[in-house]
Amino acid sequence: MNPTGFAKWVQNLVWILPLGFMIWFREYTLPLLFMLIIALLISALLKPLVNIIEMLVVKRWGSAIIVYVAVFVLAGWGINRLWPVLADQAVSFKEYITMDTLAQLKLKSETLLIGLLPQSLHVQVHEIFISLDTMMNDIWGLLVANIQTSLTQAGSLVLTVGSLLISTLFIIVFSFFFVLEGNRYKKAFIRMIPNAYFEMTLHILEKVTTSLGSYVRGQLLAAMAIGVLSILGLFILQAVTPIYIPYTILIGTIAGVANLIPFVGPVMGMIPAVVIYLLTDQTVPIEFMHIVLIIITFGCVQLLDNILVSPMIMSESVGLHPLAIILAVLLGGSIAGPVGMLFAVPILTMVKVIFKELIWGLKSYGYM
Amino acid sequence: MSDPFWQNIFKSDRNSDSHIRLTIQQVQIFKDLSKRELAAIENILHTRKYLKGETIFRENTPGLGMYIILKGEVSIIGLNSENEQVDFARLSDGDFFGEVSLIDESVRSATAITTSECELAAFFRDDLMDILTKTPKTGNKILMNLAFVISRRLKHTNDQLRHQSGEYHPEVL
Repeated sequence: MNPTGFAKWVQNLVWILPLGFMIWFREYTLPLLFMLIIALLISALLKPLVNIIEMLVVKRWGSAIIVYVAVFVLAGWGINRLWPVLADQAVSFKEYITMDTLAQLKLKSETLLIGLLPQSLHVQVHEIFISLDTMMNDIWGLLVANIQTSLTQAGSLVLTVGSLLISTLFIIVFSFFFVLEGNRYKKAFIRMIPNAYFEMTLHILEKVTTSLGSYVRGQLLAAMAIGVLSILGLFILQAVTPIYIPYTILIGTIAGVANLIPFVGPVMGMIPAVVIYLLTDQTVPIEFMHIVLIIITFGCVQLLDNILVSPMIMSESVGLHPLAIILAVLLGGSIAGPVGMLFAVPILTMVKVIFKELIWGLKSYGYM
Repeated sequence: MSDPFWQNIFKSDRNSDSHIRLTIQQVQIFKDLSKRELAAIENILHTRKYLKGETIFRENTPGLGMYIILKGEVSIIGLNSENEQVDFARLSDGDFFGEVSLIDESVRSATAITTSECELAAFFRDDLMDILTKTPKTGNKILMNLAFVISRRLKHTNDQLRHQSGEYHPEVL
């Protein structure tokens, strides 16, 4: 091996040092990596906006500053206005959910089912609901413990590095630099790749970043659209029917977030609305038709999303197998509770995109 | 602004004329670009060093873009109609190759191998698309130059074919 070749060989090995350091001190580097991933996702979200503004102001740093100031002023204003309402609804809902209200829910559901089913089945239904009584305490305990665990798990990842505020600030700074200097970092990374794999790596990297960027943007926009449409739908439903559903904004937010999970998400978003309807004292007697109307409202929201919103967002469909989705949701749930369930499918999708493009690259360039 | 932190954020595109910029301003595809536009192109390019005999790209692999030879010699090889490996072209400092991949996503039609130690600058399709979106004026200049290069090569190929078949009628072109 000639000196130039040896120098290149050493240069190609340089990346192993930081990687080894990261693995060795993973206890400290993993939370940092988590923050960097969030920062990368935020930068993927804001990059198209920065590119558009860059056409007008020429300088990238000028465009990045304008976008960041605008987004954070808007987000701050939104959080300032929405957060108190959302927090109030969440706190009041938490106080509202007690053993008594759960017993009330059981009673109303039983009345509703007895009204629907033939008389021959009434005894069986009543027996099932009596057996539910014994389970109620266990379910209640499990529910409270699960919520507390998931909140702790979600927080601990970010809080390891410091307080939530400091972590958020770091994430904002990291994402700003990714937006501003992303291409330079990419070039620096590509420089370390041996010549034989240079084009292939760049090709795969371009395809992965494009697919992931459009997926993340698509998912967040779809979640926002579902949230807003669900709130609007529930308001309209209450205006045209005697149905009363409180905590509308909370229900809409849950529906939007739950939409991140395909197939299961839309149903999970609808359940709180039905439950809250059953829990609330209505001005008219509870009817099965009202539940059907709530389900239709959420169905219309999904329909509007599929017909109008999704085609406009043009998020790349990654087509996960339903079985893979169910397994991912279950695995996510067992690892990190409800938070894990929520992020399991997006993470699986990202992994699938990376592998798909990697295999495509290896095959196209004759390495497979 | 002597602080490197702020210098890094507010850095200027107008650096002094570098070796790369002096070479790329001679390249037909970047003809008529201003100093500022050339500086922007220079920031985008991937410069790489190759040893003698290294493959830059292989025939039938996906084409990403073009290469400019900053220093050294490159041979473009491929199979002829008799399935024999032949040298299509020998290129040196300031020459460029693979430019068709800037607009055509199909596979490479030949293999490029270095015949000496080389320094190359790579300009890729995604970078061209980025320029076309962000600075359409610069992008259009590059596209026009690219169209000129490709049309000139097409005329040259037509001439060669006519010469080979003995039916050369320049007035037809």
